[in-house]
Amino acid sequence: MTFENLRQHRVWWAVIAGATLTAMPAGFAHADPPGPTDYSSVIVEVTTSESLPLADDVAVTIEGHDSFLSVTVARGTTVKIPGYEGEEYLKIESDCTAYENQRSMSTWYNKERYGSDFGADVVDHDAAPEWLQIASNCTLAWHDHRIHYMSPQPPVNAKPGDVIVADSIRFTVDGIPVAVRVESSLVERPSLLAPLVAAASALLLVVGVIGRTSAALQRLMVGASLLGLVIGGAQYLWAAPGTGPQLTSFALPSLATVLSGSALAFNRQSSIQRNGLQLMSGVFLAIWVLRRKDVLDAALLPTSLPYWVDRAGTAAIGVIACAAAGYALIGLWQIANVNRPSPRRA
Amino acid sequence: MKQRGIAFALIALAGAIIAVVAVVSGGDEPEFQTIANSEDADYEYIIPRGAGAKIEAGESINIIPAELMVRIGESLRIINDDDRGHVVGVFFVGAGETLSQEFTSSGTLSGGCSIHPSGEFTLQVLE
Repeated sequence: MTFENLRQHRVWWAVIAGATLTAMPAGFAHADPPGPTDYSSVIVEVTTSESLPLADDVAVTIEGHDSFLSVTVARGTTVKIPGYEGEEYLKIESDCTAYENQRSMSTWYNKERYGSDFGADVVDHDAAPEWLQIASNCTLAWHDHRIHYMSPQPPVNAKPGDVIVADSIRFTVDGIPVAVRVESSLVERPSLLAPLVAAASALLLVVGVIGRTSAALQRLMVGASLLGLVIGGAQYLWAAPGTGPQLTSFALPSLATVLSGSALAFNRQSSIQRNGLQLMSGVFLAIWVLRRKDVLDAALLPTSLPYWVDRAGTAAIGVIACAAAGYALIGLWQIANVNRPSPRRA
Repeated sequence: MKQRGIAFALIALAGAIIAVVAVVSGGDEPEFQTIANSEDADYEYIIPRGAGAKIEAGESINIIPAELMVRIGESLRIINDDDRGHVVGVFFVGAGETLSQEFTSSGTLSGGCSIHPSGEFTLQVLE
């Protein structure tokens, strides 16, 4: 295989990798990670039986705005968390290892934010627990559905500030019963000004460069892919350990960067490779935007970046990606027509 | 000829990826509209005062079914006499408030329910 062949095949492998990443379910390999949300869950009270003080080295937190409840203890402390039906569900041993009972309904029901699976074929609350080690850092984080609103549809009739969910989650720390009271409130959605201005600016930029050289749009596409990489990377790094940060949050922009960079490299060589690479990079980046479209109007985002950067960046990337893919599509269509076989003469 | 084939293959591949994503992103959710509280409702449920406190204390009370099957054009009313707000699927009824909705399209919606022992409520709207 020549170097040129290898380089061409590498591009196809990248396309296959992108298609695989695109088809990958949201929660692949991890728990359903925190996403954009309109609800803020807060711990309003932690109480213990007989008003015993909770040890200083026990931390109970909400992760991902309203997504996960997390418990962290010091080495030597044990925690037992029952499931929704009082069955044995989670535990942290004194050596910091954490386990999940595969026979518990809560194990399966809590895999996703909106709880889609009851694991009916393996759940048995009368059987001895089947413990699976899931962590070794003295920390547990799980989708407790008592700490958040349970539908992707916004609650009908609710106003910003309304407490949508209020409940108590009970577990034991070193045998002492603990109750954590959580309230989740609806948060007002932001103005769409930042993404709209960004999308309009990106459109003007695209119109400005599209009539110049073909490399100008490719450079713009490389820039958009790199911005996507920063935004996706910030989302990946923001997620707390154990809450399943999602590979696709930055993998698709990474792939788009490689493909659009390659399109730029092929610019003077082959128009079919250039257009093909630009089309694929545009499609993958557009799908990345589509998968995270909720960031445009959700109140709280899973990122350490300022929210307006995430929103405006995502909108601008979406416009550039669609324009680049569309432009490449027209180029490919022209190539297909130029190479159309001429009709035979009788 | 070869270039033509590759060009078509790339166009088809892009189209296929977009089609798969569009199909996966699609949903089938019912729609509804607010109606006046004075109108008659086909299904009416009243959340009594103290219901939330009883549930939090571990008491099991049954006010509303876990699954409700209705038809387009029918209506649902939830009267909350409790001192706290409650969620029934995608409907939120504040303390002392009444919610009245008429179903205008078919589909299924699931969500949490703060007044059912299962903690779940599924609404199915039929044609």
